[in-house]
Amino acid sequence: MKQEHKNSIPINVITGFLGSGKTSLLRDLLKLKSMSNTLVLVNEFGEVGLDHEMIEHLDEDTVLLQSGCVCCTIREDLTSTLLEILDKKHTKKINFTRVILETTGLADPSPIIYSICNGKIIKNYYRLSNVITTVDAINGIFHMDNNYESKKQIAVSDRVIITKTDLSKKNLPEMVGKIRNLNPGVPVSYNDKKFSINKLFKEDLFSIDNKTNEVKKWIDSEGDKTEHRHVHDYNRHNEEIYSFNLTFKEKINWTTFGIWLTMLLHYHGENILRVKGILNIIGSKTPVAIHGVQHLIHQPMHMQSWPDSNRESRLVFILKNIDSSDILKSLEIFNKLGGINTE
Amino acid sequence: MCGLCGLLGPETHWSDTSGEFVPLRKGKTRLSDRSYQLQILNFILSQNGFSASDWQGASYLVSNGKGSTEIASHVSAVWSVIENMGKQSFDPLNKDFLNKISLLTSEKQK
Repeated sequence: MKQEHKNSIPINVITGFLGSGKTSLLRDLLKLKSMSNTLVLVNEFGEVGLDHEMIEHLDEDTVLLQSGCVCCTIREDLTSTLLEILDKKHTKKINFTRVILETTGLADPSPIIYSICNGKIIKNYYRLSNVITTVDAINGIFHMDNNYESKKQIAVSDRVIITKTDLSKKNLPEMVGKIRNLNPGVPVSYNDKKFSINKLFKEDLFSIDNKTNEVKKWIDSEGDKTEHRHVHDYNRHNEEIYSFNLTFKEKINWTTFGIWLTMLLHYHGENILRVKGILNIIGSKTPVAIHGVQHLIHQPMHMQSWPDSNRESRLVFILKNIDSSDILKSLEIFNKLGGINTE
Repeated sequence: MCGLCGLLGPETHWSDTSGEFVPLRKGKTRLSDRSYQLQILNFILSQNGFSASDWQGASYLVSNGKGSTEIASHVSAVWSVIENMGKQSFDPLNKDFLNKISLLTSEKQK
């Protein structure tokens, strides 16, 4: 674990489609005593009022980076606000130990994730703790079937919370199935009395202590299945998103894997919504966990142990418009590059 | 920062073999890992007439074989730089490109 991660300020991103209960969740959260040092960033003041001392507002200014992909957009409003509040913290005008950012209902979370993880200065003082997506028990299935934004919010999330379960429970099994098709292994919770909101927000994905459990959730979810397809109508805002599990028996040459993945993400990053999993690397006794959203790969982490007796590399890809067999074939060819005589 | 040339230290990239997540093996240094990475990278780049060399242990100089050279700060940036320099594609899902890599890998392994 990077030393600076221990001292950096965690940021939780709450996203979810329009009316899915983001602000209500946030309001419940802010009632907790343990969340008193939390600063909240919102894009818009919604219908549900927030009674909290530290709320900052963002005006969506964006700068599209050279690659031209929306996921590589620096949200200047976000980075400048994060720097401003950091300055206020250092000059002791405000004190906070955590930031929660609530997105708009139609937001694509990728530029937010990119801005936190890649923003100059920002990345040294803040860390992305996790991305939490709310799904409404009544309209969630309709949103997933009809709105690309809703599907993408689920695909890039680290935790999903189904809200409004007190109003309707009849669609829950189908809803959980659809969520897991979009994002295998994502932990799904219900916002009811048993739900520990506090624990959820403190489950830091980038803590080595949590990593083994987190990775186990990713790889356990797939069982023997090798591919899930989630078919919907094809149009600009309703493209097919599906996931597949790639297992690889041969040990991975890290150098060729790194070059291959940078190439793959450069040419197809817009269509690779997520990649997460563990790799059995040549020269390493324990697996390396990797985790990325579109063009962004978080710093890989050496795990302390294998999560089970299986020593294969296992990756979950969440894709659109790419044939999964092409990825497997490409990785097989590139991994052999490690054995060539380059002289 | 280097006091003579004003260069900042190398930017850590997730793909660096000598990054903090991989302990350096016996006899390995950051530069030897980087050199190995460059050999593999050059094998790939040579398929379309490009090449890369190390610059100050911090960046890469990417050349298109026609006299143009540009700097890339890390491996991910190499592909953007190449795209700016010409029409050649290094798409790892392109069947023709993959066949080329596969064929040459088999020859090199003989």
